[in-house]
Formats: sequence, C-alpha cells, structure tokens
Amino acid sequence: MTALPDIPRLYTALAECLAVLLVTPALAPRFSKGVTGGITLLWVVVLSVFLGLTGNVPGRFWIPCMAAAIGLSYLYLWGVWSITLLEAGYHCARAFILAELAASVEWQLHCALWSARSAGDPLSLLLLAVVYGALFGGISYLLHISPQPAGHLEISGSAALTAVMLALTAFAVSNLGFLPGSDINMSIFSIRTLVDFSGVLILTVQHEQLRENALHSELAAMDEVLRRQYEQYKRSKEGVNLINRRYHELKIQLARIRQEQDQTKQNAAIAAMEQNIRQYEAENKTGNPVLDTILTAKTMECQQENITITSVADGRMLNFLTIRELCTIVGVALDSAIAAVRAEPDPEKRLIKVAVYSQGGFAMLRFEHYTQTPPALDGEGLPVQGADLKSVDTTVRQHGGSMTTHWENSWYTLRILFPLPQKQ
Amino acid sequence: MIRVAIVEDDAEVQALLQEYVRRHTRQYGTEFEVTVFADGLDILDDYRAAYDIIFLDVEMKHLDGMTTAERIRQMDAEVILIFITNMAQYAIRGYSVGALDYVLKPVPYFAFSQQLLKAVARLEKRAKRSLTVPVEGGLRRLDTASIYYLESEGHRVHFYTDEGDFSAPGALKTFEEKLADCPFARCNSGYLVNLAQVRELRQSTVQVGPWELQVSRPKRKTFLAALTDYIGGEGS
Repeated sequence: MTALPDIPRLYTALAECLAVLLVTPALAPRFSKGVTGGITLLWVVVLSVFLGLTGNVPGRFWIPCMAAAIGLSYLYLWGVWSITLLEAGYHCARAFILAELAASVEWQLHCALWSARSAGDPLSLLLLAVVYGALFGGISYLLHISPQPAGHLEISGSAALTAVMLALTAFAVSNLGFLPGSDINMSIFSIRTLVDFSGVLILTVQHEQLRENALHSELAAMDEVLRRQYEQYKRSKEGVNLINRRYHELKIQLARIRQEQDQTKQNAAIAAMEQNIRQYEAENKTGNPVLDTILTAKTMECQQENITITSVADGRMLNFLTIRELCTIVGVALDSAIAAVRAEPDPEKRLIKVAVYSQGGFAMLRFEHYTQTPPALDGEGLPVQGADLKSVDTTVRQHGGSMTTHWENSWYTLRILFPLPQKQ
Repeated sequence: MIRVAIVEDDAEVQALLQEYVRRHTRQYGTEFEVTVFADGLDILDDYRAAYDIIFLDVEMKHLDGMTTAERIRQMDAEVILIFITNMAQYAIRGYSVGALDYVLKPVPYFAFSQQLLKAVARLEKRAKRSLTVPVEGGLRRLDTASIYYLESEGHRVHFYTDEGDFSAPGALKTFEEKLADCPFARCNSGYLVNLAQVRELRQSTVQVGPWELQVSRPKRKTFLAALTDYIGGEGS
C-alpha cells in the first residue's frame, strides 16, 4: 500500500482563513472598515505564504510550524477585533478545529476519489470549492439564522480554557496516526476526520450554551427594566392620588376660612391658593390614565431639579399598549432625558419637550431634550448610556413600530412611531 | 422676512417678547416682522393667512388662546402656532390645533429663542418644492406634495399623483436623488413613496393615498425609520 499524500498546505491555509472569517462577523472591529479589511488581507497572505513555505519541513519542525500558524491567527483575532486575549483564544480554538475538520474531510474525499490527481488539478479545485463551500456556507447559514444576543458575547475564562484544551486534545488525537513510522492510509484519515468532527461538535454545543445564556440574561435584563418602571409607576400613582386628596382637603379648609373671615386681601390670597390647587388637579389630563400618572410624576421630579418640561399629549389612542409597555416607553424615555439635562449647569437650558399625538393611522411619541454634547452611540445607533432604550426598542418592534434617535442643533430627539391597530 | 404675530393681553409680556425677538435677530441674524395683538378677537378680526408663526397667550380676557387657535386653524392650516401659558394643563391639548409646542410663563429668553429657531427651521424645510420631469414634448412641472408614489418600470418611471398618472424616461434612482430634500422613501426596491401621503401601515402593505403598496422585508426597517422621522418631525 502506497502512502497517501497529506493535505496540501494551501488547502489548510484556506480552511484556516475561512474558519476564522466565519467567527469574525459577530465581533466588533477595533479599526475602521478599510484598516480592518487591509489587515485581514495581509493576514490571509502571510498565513498562506507561511504555511506554503513550511510544507516540506522535517517532522520535528511540523508542530512548531503549526503552532506559529495558529499563533498568527490568534494575534490577528486579538489585534483586529475588540476582544480580550481569552476570548481570542476561545474563537481561535473554535476556528482552528473547524478548519482541521474541513481540510480533513475534503482531503479524505479527494484521496478516496482520485488520490493520484494533484492538488492543483481543476477537478481537485472544484472538489475543494464544493466541500469548503458546503461546509463553511452551511455553518455560516446556521450562525446567521439563529438569534444572536445583541452586542458582545461574554466568554468566561473557564469556557475559553475548556475550548482551547478541547481543541488541543482533538488536534493531538487526530494527528496520532501521523507519528513517524506509521502507515498513512484511509483509516488514519477517517480517524482524523471523526476526531475533528467530535471536536467541532463539542465546541459547537458549548458555544450554543454560551449564546443561549447570553440571550437569557438579555431577556432578564429587559424584564428588569419593565419591572422597575412598573414599580415606579405604582409608587407615583399612590403619590399622585395622595396629593390630589391633600389638595381636596385643603380646598375644603379654605372654603371654611373664607366663610369666617371677610377681609378682601385675605380673600385674594385664598383665591390665588385655589388657583394653584386647580393647576395641580388638572395637571396632565391626556385621556390615558397611565400616561397622566407618569407625566405628572415626572413633571414633579423635573420641578424639583429645576428642569422645564413641557408636554402636549393626546393619550386617547394609546390604549393598545399595556400599562407595563407604556410605563417602560415613557418612563425610560423621560428618565434618560432627565439624566441628560441634569448635567447641564445652566437651569435655563434644562429643557425637555414631550409630544404625543396621532396622525393618520399612526401614533407618535416624541421626546426631546436640550444637550450640547452629542450622546455616544453604540453599534445599533442607540445611546450607550441609555441601555434601557433597548427594551423600549423591543417593545416598539413587538407592535410593528419603529424608534429613531437623532442629535441635531443641540437637541436630542427620540421618536417612536406605532401603526394604530385597525378598529374592528 | 419671517412674519410673526404675538397675541398677548399683558403689555409687559408683549414688550418682553418683542425684545426677545430683537435679541434673537441680533444673535442669529434672522429678520422678523412682528405684529402685536392684545386679544384673540383682534387677530381674528379680518384674519388673513399673513403670518408664519403666531405666539398665542392661552389665558386672555375676551377670547382665550385655545379658541382663537381653533378659529385660526379653520382659516389657515399652515401657520405655526406656539402657546404661551402659565398653566401647562391647558396647553397639553394643543395637539387638537396642531400646536405641539408651548413656552411656560414667566418666559425665559433661552426657551423662547430655541422655540423660534425650531419654528424657523421648520419653515425653511417646508418651502414648497417642485420637480421638473421630462415628458414627451417638453417638461412637466410638478408639486412634490401632489405625488403619491413613483414606480420603476424598466427605463421609465411611472408617476402616480393626485393630478393624474403619467410616465417619464429615467431611473428611479435619479428621481430619488432629485427628491432627496423631500419626504420620500422606498417601501420596496421598485416604489418611491411620498411619506406625506402614507395613511396606514399593515402587516406587509402600506396605504399611500388611494394605493395599497407592498412593503418588502429588506426595506421595511429603513422605510419605517424614515416614516418615523417624517411624522415625528411635524410640529417640531
């Protein structure tokens, strides 16, 4: 039996590059698009040249060469994408074992079909394209359709360590058959493929677990926002009710005082007090009791902080939102506005405007505040500070609506649009 | 020159607001022509749509600001109304007359000036735009507000307007660029929709004037965002 040739180094290089590029879309780049692309291209070329040149080194240099190649990918991942060294290790391990599997499967098929053909033969290249295309394309598709947690996937030290150890073990076991002195035949290729396959499988299961944990904690965080705003709403409702009761009692007392005393001046003072009471009683009647309560509570909060808030609001069409949803949307929007204008030293410039109205078949909620510094935005265009806005966005989308944020001429504007449900 | 009316029964506040307008002109260079009225009845007497911005006191002796605003709206749909009030609960219903902003008394210069800035920006944005379209035998001038939507038909573009439909040679992209300053957005790759004509949004369609158009999945997000900014931009 003749010894079968091993995988051409350029095939390995290609698999390695594709596998690494498969994990990068989920990562945030450190540099601009152009720089990232440039470094990626450079890395692909360097890796291919390095693997190509070290194809025929003696056996004892083989492992250091592989280690150097992996190190190159590792440095690339860490240097170009904004992840920690640990996370880079995790991603590198996943990519490496996947590349091993792809190269192994492809070469096994190649040897089974036409072991005599050279690696550069058009048919060989076609097989290469088909196998790599199917494998990487399939995995890329699977990654694409599964829900991804927003932002960064947290990878703990132990998860990274497990992944690296697994990858190393799989790599070691799969290559046991290639120790000097043993015959290279199909069964060794099969073992390598199988071991790599189990490696990929275990790492994928681990990754899925991490991803689901991340999704779960994201949901929990959103729930927390809902709960917090709702609790706050309940508290303010009690407070607002209490104040209304107090004012009512005051009014009765005033009426008594007026009956007893007859001086005109005192009457005028009493009338002025009544006027103030009326203001509070009538505060924020929008046609939606939930909106009334939130706006009143937030208006009081603003008055305490010397913030001028003006609201024009028609709440009558907002009944399609649950109390919790409305609390979240209005509460979060106003909380982030209040937090932002609080930083403004000049009280005259602490301005917040609220407008809620309908137009055609749509409801619009608009929150504006004055701020000279543009808010820092995350990858999705949401302000970094207003992490809670994420849950507002989710609520809005659940109703088929849309949310946009802009900063222009020192005004920050948050707009929320809902298509109004059709009347039955 | 932007025409401003101030309707306010308190002479002191009248003078203050006039001074604020002058200060705003010194600060930003925008020229205003200010007319002052002491009561809602005075501005309604022989009302012509001669103003761009009206500042309205909500509490006035003879005719209050809200009633005045309602009557003005019946005659003038375009003018920007801004209430001045010390009782926020009256102004909260401003939406019924399209007055989505108000200034609280005592009026600080900064809030007033910001209000004026926004109103002026809105006026500039509103400036009526027309589109010139090459048609057989010449050019056709079209008010962009009258367009429902544009449809791409190979090397031609079909116009659906409330003055009738016609088609013109050219690519949808060309017209999209010409209409960049107007509220137009694509609801799918073949339709460019006038957002001002959007009445309703359903699961996968949008009602544009009398037409029901498909909203494609890839365009949905950007279309909705453009619609949000358009509807949420009115009155600001």
